Amino acid sequence: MSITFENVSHVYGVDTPFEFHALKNVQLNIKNHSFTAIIGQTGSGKSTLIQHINALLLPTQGSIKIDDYLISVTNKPEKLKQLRQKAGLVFQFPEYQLFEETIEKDIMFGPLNFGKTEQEAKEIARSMIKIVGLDESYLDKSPFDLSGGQKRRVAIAGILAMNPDILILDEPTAGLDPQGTKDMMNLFKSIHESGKTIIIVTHDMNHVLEYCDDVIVMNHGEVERHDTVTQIFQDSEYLNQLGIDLPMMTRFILDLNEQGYHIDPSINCIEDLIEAIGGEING
Amino acid sequence: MDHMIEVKNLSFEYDEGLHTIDNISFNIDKGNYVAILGHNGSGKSTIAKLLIGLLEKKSGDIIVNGYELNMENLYKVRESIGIVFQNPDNQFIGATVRDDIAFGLENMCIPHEQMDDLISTYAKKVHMEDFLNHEPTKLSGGQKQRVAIAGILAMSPSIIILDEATSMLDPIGRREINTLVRELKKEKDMTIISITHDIEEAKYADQIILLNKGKIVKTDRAKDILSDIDLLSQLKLDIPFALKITNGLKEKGISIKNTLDNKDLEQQLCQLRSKM
Amino acid sequence: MDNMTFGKYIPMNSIIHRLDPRLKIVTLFIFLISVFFDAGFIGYGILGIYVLMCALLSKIKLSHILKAIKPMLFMMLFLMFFNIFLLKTGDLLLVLGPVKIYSGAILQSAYIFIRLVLIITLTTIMTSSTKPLELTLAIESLLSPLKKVHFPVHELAMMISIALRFIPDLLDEAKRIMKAQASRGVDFNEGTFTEKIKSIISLIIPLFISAFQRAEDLANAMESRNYNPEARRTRYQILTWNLSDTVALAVTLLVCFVVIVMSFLI
Repeated sequence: MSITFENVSHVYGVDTPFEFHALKNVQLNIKNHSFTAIIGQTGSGKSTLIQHINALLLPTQGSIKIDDYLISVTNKPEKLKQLRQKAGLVFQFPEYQLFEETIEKDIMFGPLNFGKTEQEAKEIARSMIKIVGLDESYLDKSPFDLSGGQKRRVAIAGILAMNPDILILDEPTAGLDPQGTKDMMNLFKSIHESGKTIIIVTHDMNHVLEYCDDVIVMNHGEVERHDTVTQIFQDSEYLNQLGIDLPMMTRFILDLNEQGYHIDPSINCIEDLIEAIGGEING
Repeated sequence: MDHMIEVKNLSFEYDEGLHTIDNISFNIDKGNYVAILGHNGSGKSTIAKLLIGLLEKKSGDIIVNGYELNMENLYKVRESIGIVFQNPDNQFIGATVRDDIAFGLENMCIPHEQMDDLISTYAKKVHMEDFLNHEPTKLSGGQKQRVAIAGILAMSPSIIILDEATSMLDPIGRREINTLVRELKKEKDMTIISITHDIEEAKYADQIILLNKGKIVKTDRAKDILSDIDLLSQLKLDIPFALKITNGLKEKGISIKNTLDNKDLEQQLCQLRSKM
Repeated sequence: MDNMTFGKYIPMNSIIHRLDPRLKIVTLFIFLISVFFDAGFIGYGILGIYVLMCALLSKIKLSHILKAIKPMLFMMLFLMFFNIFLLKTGDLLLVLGPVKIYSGAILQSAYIFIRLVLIITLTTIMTSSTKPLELTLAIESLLSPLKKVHFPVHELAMMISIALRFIPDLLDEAKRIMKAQASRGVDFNEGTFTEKIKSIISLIIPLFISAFQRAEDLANAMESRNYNPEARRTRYQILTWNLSDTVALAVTLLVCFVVIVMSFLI
């Protein structure tokens, strides 16, 4: 499912002293099956943007097309619920949305809301818990007895259980430790490889470099850039001006190249980088 | 007085028989910057809460600034330690920045007439002097953490504990806080304890206490702990970027010195290249 | 929830804003009493002028006050309606089948309407011109004699101020959880009764968990900053009673006295 934004604006608190233009004339086309990062400062409109994709927010101007669904000012799609199933949105700190007595019931909640039978939902829960890296023995436990990282996995399983075609993630690794972060990002990578579109809001440029294909740069409610990861990270001056650092690896390569090396700046894994440096030193 | 903080055979359990902190001992010297490093659930934050008497130890001794931590000395110990917690929203007590900084002063029974001066001095120290009348909803995460630091500094403690104080911030907020902490470090006599799992932040510490499953695995100079690749990967912690590179190059038969610093690595690599 | 105007502080620099919050609470209290003394239209005229003066001096826009009155309009009409049909004093004016309308009833209904408008207007002026923090301080100060009978005045005031501080945060949190559950297919507006119950549970439980988490964090933060409710504390915010407060109190007392005396003379 591809996602197209046509001239979308969103204003909060119209006609009040608190009026705020969160999105301004956004034109956007996110490709099917892409792994897209949305970056930009806090308050640049990232969260507002993603909430339009599953129609939690409706545009105050313009329209959004997702497959056959058209969301516009006047056209609140009748099958809003179906759209929310197709575009699964994982909020920041999703562990705060858990509420059932058992993990199984919590994962079943989404599928049941979307018309699955009890039996089907149970089977989905059983397979989803494994996908997020926990085993079936967890299903009967209370979600509130888990560690922070595990709770988050269960919450994500609850979204994956709806079998969305698009998975939207708002800073999914915030507050996790290094291993938890790595596991989480690898989970999204494998979900992406299973054929889904992934959209991730993140502040971590190292993740963008390692996992993503495309980048959307937001600034003051506008989409300023939408390009491949390689292209975006070539313009360090532009990112710097937005207060965004280059990924550590890219920064390092650029610094080396300034001092005479000729390393491909699009390298995104440490093994390739060591290989390239070694190659130059050993001639 | 030898040490700012002395911890002897400290144990603590939330649930019977489950040692969250298991017989640990360590000392922290005056004026040092110490990082307590470990993954989530290793017991790092529990140590902070024990040091300031928010949790009650099961056994062992804690001596802070010469005071043994017990019911009698509780408020003396708390006067010596300031702590910045993880969540910026949940530690903002006052209605405005001004009132939040004042909260600690009120508890310390500072006379009303001196408060305004103290508030503006410490707001300036954390570069928040223009925001004194702001409400917390109008501040960023980084700004709220800076206010928390000002509130603590105004109580003039000898020790500041940062309990994952940057983990919920965006990169700009994180940079603000890290810069501020480095400024504080320059002020002699201030002992700083940073509880973190961020290797790149721990690099700046004088000493690292490495924690796993409630036990101290190792305590040493930052340089020595962060160079121990086997230990770090065994504890599922990150390995500093520069070290990953030097390690990989060594495996290729290139002779290069281990380093934690990217700039130092760049220099070494440039020399290697010019030798060819 | 976004356009809640009643009770919201509007920062401005006016004489009314600068008055001591204790004075404002006491004034409102005295006014509430005197408004129920029936001094006829002249009496209400005097009170009306008083409220109008307050409104003008506070520099708060008329539209803001009207917005506060609007949600109460239904209740006021409801009360008037009952009074008109039920009261049987004065002259019989009109007979509509079984319903008889008397002049006294019309008069009473008008009084009720005027009273409520005056009360709501003055309350709105007070809440719009006084910071929540100041109100808390004023409550603490006014209740302080109760300390003698070991009533936890300070704790009460601290509780109110923390509640006020966290209301916006909890509203945000509730909005966020609703959106998160909507993303899991919850429809908060439609559905059968059982579905509705389930939707509410999916909001309430996470909200409670989050509130308790906040409470724990906040208690830790307060304790670690050496807070001890039983110990002596100095205060940063101190209320100071100025000449203008004395003058304002005198004017209020005078106005109310005149109205009350009039009500006995009529």
